[in-house]
Amino acid sequence: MSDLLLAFSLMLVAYVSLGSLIAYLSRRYGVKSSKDYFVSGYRLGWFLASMTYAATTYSAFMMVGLVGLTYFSGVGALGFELAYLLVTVVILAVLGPTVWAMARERGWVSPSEMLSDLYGSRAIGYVVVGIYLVAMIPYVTAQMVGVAAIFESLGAGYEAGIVVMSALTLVWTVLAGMWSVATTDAYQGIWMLSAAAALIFSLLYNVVPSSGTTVNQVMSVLSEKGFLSITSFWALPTFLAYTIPWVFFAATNPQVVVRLYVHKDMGSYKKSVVLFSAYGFIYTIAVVCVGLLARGLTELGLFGFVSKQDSVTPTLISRLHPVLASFIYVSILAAAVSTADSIILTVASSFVRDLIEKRGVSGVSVFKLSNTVVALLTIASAYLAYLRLGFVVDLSVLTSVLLLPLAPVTIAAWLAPHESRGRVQRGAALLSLLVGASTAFGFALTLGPRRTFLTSYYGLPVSALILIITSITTLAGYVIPKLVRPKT
Amino acid sequence: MRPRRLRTPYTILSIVVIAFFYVVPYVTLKESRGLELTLFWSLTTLIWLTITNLLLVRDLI
Repeated sequence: MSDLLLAFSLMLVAYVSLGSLIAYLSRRYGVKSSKDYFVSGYRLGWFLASMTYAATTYSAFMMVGLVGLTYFSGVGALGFELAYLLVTVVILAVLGPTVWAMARERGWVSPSEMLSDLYGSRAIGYVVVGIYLVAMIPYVTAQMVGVAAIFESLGAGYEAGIVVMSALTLVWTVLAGMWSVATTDAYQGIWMLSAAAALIFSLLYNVVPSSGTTVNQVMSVLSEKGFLSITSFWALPTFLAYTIPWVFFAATNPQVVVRLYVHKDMGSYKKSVVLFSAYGFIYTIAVVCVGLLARGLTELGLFGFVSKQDSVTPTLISRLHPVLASFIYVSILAAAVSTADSIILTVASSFVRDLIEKRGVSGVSVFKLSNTVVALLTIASAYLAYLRLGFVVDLSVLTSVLLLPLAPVTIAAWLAPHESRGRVQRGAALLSLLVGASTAFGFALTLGPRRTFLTSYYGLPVSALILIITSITTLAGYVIPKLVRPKT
Repeated sequence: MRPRRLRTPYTILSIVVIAFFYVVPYVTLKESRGLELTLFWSLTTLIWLTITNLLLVRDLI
């Protein structure tokens, strides 16, 4: 057994043991109803609420995908990730408090239930559950594939990675639902940020000096080679293709929408937005700096060129001390688990609330039922990861595009909740969802998910076209009744 | 002071800031090779997040 594998195994045992203890202790908060299980009975304090929001939002993509994207495309990756953060915090500040208040007043537990209630339509709830399944399960599968690939590269085995990831996702969810997810998210969020900080400090104070260069020289070469400018990769249509689906993340992704409900009071909500803003900003800057430093070292001939985007971080980590490398590898696992369990819990909430509880099915233990749905979704994702189906993993690239039709439908209803229950509004919302989702999925089937993501028509990426079509359709539903209303 | 009294101006200004976030790099900073673009995106985000959080905590938006 290599030093790295030994250090990783010990670090993994420590991470799993402490996380499991935290999840087990969270049971003391008590779970008696689906409201307790899925949204903590609206009782989360600001620290847990903000950390679960951050850890859920920032997946393994950050430490693996974004580092690689920065390495290959330069500082445009910073613009892409900060655009997400900027718009998200604006949405959280302007719309979040209203959503928080409505959730308590109307008793929302799942995001599909929210839309179903806002539009007074069960059909909308069912369509949304369908969109979540198609969009989110591939995303969870991709997280599992990423973790399994790391296990494989360390010599621990691909299947072992899937087993560890799915076992953690399952156990840390079923122990106490949102309580165990939020508490372990806080723990994992701290781990993720600490690992990013450790990596950047190690690069700045160890790797760069020991390579016989300075940060100034690295920055000079990055500037000279154009990596601090808009590179050819970041042509405007590409920047739009990346940012448009992501800037609406806070309104479209169910695992973060549900996190608008969970705060115990408005003071807690506000403090959690502040902490999330700080977390997101620091984490993004740290991760992008890692990618830039790696590229600078490559340009100076001090770090071999890495040809695959997702291999940049593992190659960089391989130069570090095994204990530090293991700490960072486990942070990637933590980022994947904290995202996956939140998604599975939220998708399960849609099943339990919209398809079972709201249909008046009784005589079933909510706790057992919820745990069964969580287990089935976890097993399904693990099985897909085990099969390594290319299309399913690729489809995760399109997750945010597939969810995009939810943006205008959701935001319009948040802004005008007293109008959204009208017959025309309801019909337009349903049409938006069906047209938008089938357009995205149709493109994915014909062009393939990866090509769909970057394909542009008249300078506009597919995501922009979907957003325009669904926005016009949704808006028409709100405007037409006002135009045809008889004057009294 | 009426709670959330700055909500509308804040929302309009946010849209302007977000528009600048896209337009400035592709119009003004396209040819820059130093740290200008990095600083523009980082500082714009940092400043607007700070303003947003201050207004939110003081119940003005």
